[in-house]
Formats: sequence, C-alpha cells, structure tokens
Amino acid sequence: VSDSALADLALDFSLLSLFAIGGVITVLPEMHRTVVEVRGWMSGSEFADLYALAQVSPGPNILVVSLIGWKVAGLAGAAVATVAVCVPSSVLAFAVSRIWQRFRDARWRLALEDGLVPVTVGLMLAGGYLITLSADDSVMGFVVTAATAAVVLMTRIHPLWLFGAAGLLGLAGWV
Amino acid sequence: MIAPFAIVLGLGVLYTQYGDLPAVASAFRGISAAAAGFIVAMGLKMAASKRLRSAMALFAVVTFVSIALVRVPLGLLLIVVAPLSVAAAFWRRR
Repeated sequence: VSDSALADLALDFSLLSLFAIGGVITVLPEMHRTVVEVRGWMSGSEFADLYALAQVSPGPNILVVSLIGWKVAGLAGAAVATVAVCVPSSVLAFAVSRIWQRFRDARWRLALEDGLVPVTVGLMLAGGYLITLSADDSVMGFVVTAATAAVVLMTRIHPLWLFGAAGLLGLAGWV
Repeated sequence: MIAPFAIVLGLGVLYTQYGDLPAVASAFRGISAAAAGFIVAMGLKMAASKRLRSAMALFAVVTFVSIALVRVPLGLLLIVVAPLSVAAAFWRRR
C-alpha cells in the first residue's frame, strides 16, 4: 500500500465530508467524479456496484467510502477513508448546531435553509442520473431502474425486497 | 459504527473475491440497477416537496444541469449557485 494513495483518500474524503450538506446522496455526484474521473480508481460500473453494496448492507450508506478505501488501499485504506469522511462533517455539524439554535428565527437562517433545498434536490437528481448511467448498459437495466423508482415512490415496500428481486432477475440473465 | 463497518467490509471482500464469477456479476447488474432506481426515487421525492413549488425550482434545474451534464466540481457549484439561491430565498422572505 502506497502512502500517497492513503493521503489521496484522506484528502478527497475529508473535503467531501465538508460538502455533505444533505447526506451521502448529495455528495454522490462529486464522489463519482473524484473516484471515477479524477483519480481513476475504478470504472463507473464498479462504483455503482459498491454503492449498491453499501445500500444493501445494514449500516449507513456513507460506508460506501469504506469499500472505496478498501479497493484502493486495503484495510488501511478503508479505515482512512471512513475516518476522513466522518470527522470533518461531525465537527462542522457540532459547531453549526450551536449557532443554528441561537438564530432560530433569524431571516438569514430561514433563507439559508430555503436556498439550500433546491441545490440539494438538484444534487440528488444528478446523483441518480449519474449512477443510473454507470449501472445500466442494457435496456432491461434501465427498465429495472425505472420500475424500482416507481415502486419506491408508490408503495411502502422495504427496498431490500426490490434489490433481492432485481438480483434474481440479474442472476436469471435478464438484465 | 464498528459493526456496520465490519459488515460492509465483509461484503466488500466477498465482492472482490467472487465478483468476477458470472453468476455474481449478473446478479449485481440487477442489484445496481435497482439501487440506482432507489436514488432516483429519493431525488424525485425531494423534488415533489412543497418547498420546491416556486421559482426557486430554477436553482434545482441549474444545479442538475451543472453537475450531471456539464460536470462542474461541487466546490464551484457551492461557491456560485448556492449563494445565489440563498440570496433569492432571502429576497423572497422580505
């Protein structure tokens, strides 16, 4: 394991951590850009697989960075990436929460919240778009993506059932 | 945090070990497609929320186009688009 790979992981993910204004989905496009395009650590389809893996495992989805770190630099990489993505945002959230409480009714605080909503929505949709393009390379792939989105929006079924069903479809060679 | 970390790494080890097997690879084609659909659904759910039913939705469109299509770095977006969006929200709250 090279030290420079560990340093890259630490730098990239601690920066990303500061951007995580609305959770992991909002930083997904930037994570994709960094990991696939800037660093070239893996292909887009592998990135989509690792994110899917993080989604089906019981922990928070941000643990996708553990898998990326693992792929880049083994156990040390996984540990460094995970700590890097957790610490800065936690410190920031702690600092901001105190100020936030104090200015509960301030106009600038309400404006900040209102103003960040559309940016967050745009980032989430961009993440969905980029992951879809990375994950799907067949018509059936896009059909499974669209069907999953529709079922999630219209029912209250637990997503694990959908991932399981889609896995079986894939296993049967239909995707 | 240790237990989820260990579980996800365990799955990751299995994936790197057996990911090349045709059966595992084809199952993952399905799982990844579904996982992508889940993200799309989360985005659409947020997009349908009440707080976006105004001219502010324009900033969601600008964000989507810059990030998904033009592929600008997130930092640039947060320096340029986010302040404009917050300024517009500030002005609307007069």
